[in-house]
Amino acid sequence: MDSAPSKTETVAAVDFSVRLARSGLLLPVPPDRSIVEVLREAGIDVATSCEAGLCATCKTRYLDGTPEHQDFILNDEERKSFVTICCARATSDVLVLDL
Amino acid sequence: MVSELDFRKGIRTDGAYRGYDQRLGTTENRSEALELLLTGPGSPMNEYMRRYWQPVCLSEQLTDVPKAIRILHEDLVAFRDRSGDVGVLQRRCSHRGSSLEFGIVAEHGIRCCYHGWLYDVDGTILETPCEAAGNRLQQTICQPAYPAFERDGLVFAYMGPPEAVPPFDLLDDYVLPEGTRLRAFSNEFACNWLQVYENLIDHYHTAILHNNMTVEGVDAALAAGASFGGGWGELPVINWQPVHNGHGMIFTAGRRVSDTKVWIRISEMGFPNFCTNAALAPSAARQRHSNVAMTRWQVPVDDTNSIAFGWRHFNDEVDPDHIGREEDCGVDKIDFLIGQTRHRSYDEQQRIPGDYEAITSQGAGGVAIHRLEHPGRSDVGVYMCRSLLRDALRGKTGPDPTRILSEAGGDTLARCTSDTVVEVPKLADRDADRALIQERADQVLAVMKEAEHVPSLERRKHVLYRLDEIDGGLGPFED
Repeated sequence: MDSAPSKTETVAAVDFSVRLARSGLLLPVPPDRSIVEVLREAGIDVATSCEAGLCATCKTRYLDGTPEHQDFILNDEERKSFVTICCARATSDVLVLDL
Repeated sequence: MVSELDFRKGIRTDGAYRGYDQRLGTTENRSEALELLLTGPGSPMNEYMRRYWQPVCLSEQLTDVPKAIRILHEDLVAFRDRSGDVGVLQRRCSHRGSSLEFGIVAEHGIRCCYHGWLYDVDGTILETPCEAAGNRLQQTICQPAYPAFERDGLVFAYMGPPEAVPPFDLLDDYVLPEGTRLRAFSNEFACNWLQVYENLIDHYHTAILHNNMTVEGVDAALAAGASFGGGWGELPVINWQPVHNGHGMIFTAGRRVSDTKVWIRISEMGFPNFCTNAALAPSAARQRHSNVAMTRWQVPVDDTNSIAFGWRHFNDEVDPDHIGREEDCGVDKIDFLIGQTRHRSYDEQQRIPGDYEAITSQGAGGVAIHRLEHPGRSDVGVYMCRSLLRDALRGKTGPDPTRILSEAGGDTLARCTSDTVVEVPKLADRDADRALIQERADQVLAVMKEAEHVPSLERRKHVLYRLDEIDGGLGPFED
């Protein structure tokens, strides 16, 4: 699989940033990078498995901002407080993660 | 070779030998999975499937005696009365509960063998021989019945609320190209319906399971019969996406078949349980464009048994070399790939495993356990299917624009399902080449979607014209 599929037929990949609540670190997420990739480049290790929004290994709590869920596994209740950071984007400028 | 001495030094457990940790593993599904898997009376999936015409048996199963069938956990009897009308009734006689599978098919309707109550195909009581003339039974009792009709060897019933009867979706591929012959078949699976249905969208398996996945030394003809051959062995570039406003989904699978040519295969699912396959012959990888070669509905019998009912489509576009065998399609038999049905010895199942073995053995007791799966990126299609199906089941999906278009225009419906070969000169870099293949697959899919808005009789011409625009026309194969 060479490109990230999406549940919506067309998705505009928009720039946003993640803020890590515990360190205050603000990391921009370019359109061609996942949150997980950005975290790893910053030296923050995150457990992942499928990296396609299927297994929920990377399920992470968020505290502020509006995620754009791209997974196929979280239910509506979970989506109110968690994102799968292997594939999620954000429609707000900043997504604050409980990391 | 490992000996017991190796274990005296202690057993490594970092990512290995973790059996003991997981000995108490669950065999239960979460509620989100059960919502899709369980189809019992009153369940959301049962109600969802009842909103569509479902095949319930083959025409050839309706003879001079009734056919006992079980569909969506309901015991039924199907018959064709002597006037030619088809009836699908609940199996227990309304009078004293005898099974109507022992009833006698009449000129109009079916007569219970016990006291002779005669029911018309719509369940109306026509005669109650033991009762006095002028009795009121006919006014108060009706044998539970469902509307049914026959088409091209399949018997369809509508088991939903009478006020919501939907049109039967007529696809182009039932009548086009001209001369198309539909052959009805069934395929019985001793497992839950969903794992069979998902198999279509799990397209990566075709390059593995259907590619000489056999024990060494098996009969060469059997091994070949269990493999597709041709371009199928190439691991495809696959993508998935919803279509028809979430009422279905497709995959595109691109495989390089020569230095200049790429084969793009598209298959489509229509929720809740319908799907169409493109060609089942190697010619698919060498032809400009062909469409549906198999139509299927995966119908639950109960939660651990299901039946695929469908048609194989025979015409010179999907099978120009005539390798398909119409005579091998029928009740619980199908003419492609060894390993589709349950009629094999255990030894052969183990040595030459096929779809039947891979699918029915998933999970426990015939039901896949979703929470025990470990999906990878190749499994996006399966998970997307479950997610879209759940949304549709919950009524979150809007109207299907294509169906509305067809109803308004009275024309047959198009599917994206197709095999197409396009000119795509190979790039030296493998990743760049695979990205290019996906780009072409997206273009072909766009053409197929665009063609949905063209009248059915113009559709093929339109698609061929657009394909020529993409690559300047298909040249000859080099080899």
